[in-house]
Amino acid sequence: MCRGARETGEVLNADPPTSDANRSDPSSVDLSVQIPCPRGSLELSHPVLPASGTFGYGEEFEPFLPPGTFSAIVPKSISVEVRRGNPPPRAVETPAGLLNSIGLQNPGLDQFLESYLPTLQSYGVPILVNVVGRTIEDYCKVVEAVEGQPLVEGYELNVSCPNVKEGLLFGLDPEATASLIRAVRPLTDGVLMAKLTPNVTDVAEQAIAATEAGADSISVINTLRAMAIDWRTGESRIGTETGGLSGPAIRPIALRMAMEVCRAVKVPVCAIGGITCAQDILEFASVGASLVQVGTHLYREPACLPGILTELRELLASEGYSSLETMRGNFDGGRYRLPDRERPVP
Amino acid sequence: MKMPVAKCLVDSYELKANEDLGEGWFRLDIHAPEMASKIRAGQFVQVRVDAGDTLLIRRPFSVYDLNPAPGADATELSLLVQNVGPGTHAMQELRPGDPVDLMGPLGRPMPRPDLAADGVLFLVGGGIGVAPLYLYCRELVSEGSTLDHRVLLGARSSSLLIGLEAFEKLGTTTHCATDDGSDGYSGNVIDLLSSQLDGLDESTPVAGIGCGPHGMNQALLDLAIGRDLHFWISLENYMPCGFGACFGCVIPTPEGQEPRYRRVCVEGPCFPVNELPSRL
Repeated sequence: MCRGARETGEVLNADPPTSDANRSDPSSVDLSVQIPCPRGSLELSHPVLPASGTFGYGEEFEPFLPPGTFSAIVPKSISVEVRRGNPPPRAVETPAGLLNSIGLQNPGLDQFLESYLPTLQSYGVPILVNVVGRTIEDYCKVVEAVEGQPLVEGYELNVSCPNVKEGLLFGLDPEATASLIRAVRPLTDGVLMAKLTPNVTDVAEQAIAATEAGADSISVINTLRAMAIDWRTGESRIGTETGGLSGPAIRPIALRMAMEVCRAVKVPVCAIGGITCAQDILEFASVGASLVQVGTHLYREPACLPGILTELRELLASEGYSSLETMRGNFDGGRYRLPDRERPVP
Repeated sequence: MKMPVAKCLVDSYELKANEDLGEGWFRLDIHAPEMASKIRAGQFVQVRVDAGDTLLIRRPFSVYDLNPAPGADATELSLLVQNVGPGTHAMQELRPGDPVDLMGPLGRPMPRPDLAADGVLFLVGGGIGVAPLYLYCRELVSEGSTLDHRVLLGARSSSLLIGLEAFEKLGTTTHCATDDGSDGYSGNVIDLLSSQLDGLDESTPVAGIGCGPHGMNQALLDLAIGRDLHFWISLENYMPCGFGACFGCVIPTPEGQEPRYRRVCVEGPCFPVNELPSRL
């Protein structure tokens, strides 16, 4: 059993277990996921991927489990240029969370192709290359260089970065997001996934812009902009003033945003945000997510995945589901379609 | 061809003893045969602290001792812990029989300087930094090393010289320094090292390893660079993962070298002083 479950499962799953008659065989529960894309459909054996930035380039996890246990790998962001990253201290623990300011440290495109991609390919599962850039051209350069490499089945575009040329943040402006996706779309017939920032008023608007521009999937959420300070010294606890918050602290926000995106778009949604166990995954599936990424929890339990998959099958079987897909989207049955402010007072 | 990767263990082990050492310090003895037999001095383990869901990140601790002896026969590992916050507070509450969730071994072992027979190896410790140095001494003893090694311990006051007796029991030459002069040299441990170095013949080969709080490490670095000493310093940067994935614990390369950030957890935690930046 995934160790995270004992902390959350008992509280959240207060319903009595269903009768054994309703129970299906856990080993036959189908967890597979399809992501349609221009090339056809990317079929994944299960819905769990590592979250970019928490999985290095796979190698760091070899002492714990075969990295190909994940159904696809999303390596740490790659930019055209080498990025040194931000000055330390780069991370600090906050209640149920981790605040980081790593600064997208990465070896750059050339080094990625030469040294890191071959290792990633050796794991034998699809690779979704996470791309960051300062301009639309930067993103395009990375995709063009990586496209066609064995097992590179698609891209996750980190659209939470400043666009230095146009002075906007991709991901904060629907038009900036859309123009980025439109530029990258012709360069690949593989999966194009847009990783959205939660630091917006209306995440659904971003998701709609991305899918209308041609994105095959949306991943939400990236880290939340946050702070931790020491009032005695008057200094930030990390090397920059603000950083990105991850971990279970942000899970309820991620769940709300995943729901909003799932309602707004028809493409598969990949939920990210504080996931630690199968119970968490099923909550995101309930609001409609097809895939999930596990991030910060991997620092605590790098070998958690096999346990999570077993528990996922067992939980679905215990409720009589034969597949994840049949359970997906079971949230609310149409009761609460109105936003809070428009809901009639009973 | 790619080298096979050493397996890293993540498992729950049984606490055998929790000994109160006073001043908020305690020693945890944990029955962890498979892990203990693989650990070398300077390596660390990450402890999962289950004090509610708010403490997310494991806490790194250098291994303090291995019993019955360091090496393949070790079945029990010990951690030296100071209660400094909610995580270590929860660890102090642990009782024999309780499970302790460990990940390890992590990091690289402390180096064995290649010293001539007449050389002197200084092991300079402060605070929690004494932990890996003690295991290092135990390894030297169990290997039957004849190396002249001297332990220098520093603390604010004699009551805070944690682990001093253990070094003495081992038969290691131990000198201490206290800020208030309540035991040994009156002053800080780096000044003590300085005076010890002054007392050596100029031709004596010298090397050393230091592990202590930030201020001690910085003073040691300054001294080692200033006197061109062959020293290593073990760092205690905050480590969210401990195995190289998060890039959170980095230090910059020294001035004048290709600028990049190195991960303390996998490339260290012990670095030769010429690979450290001038400001830690």
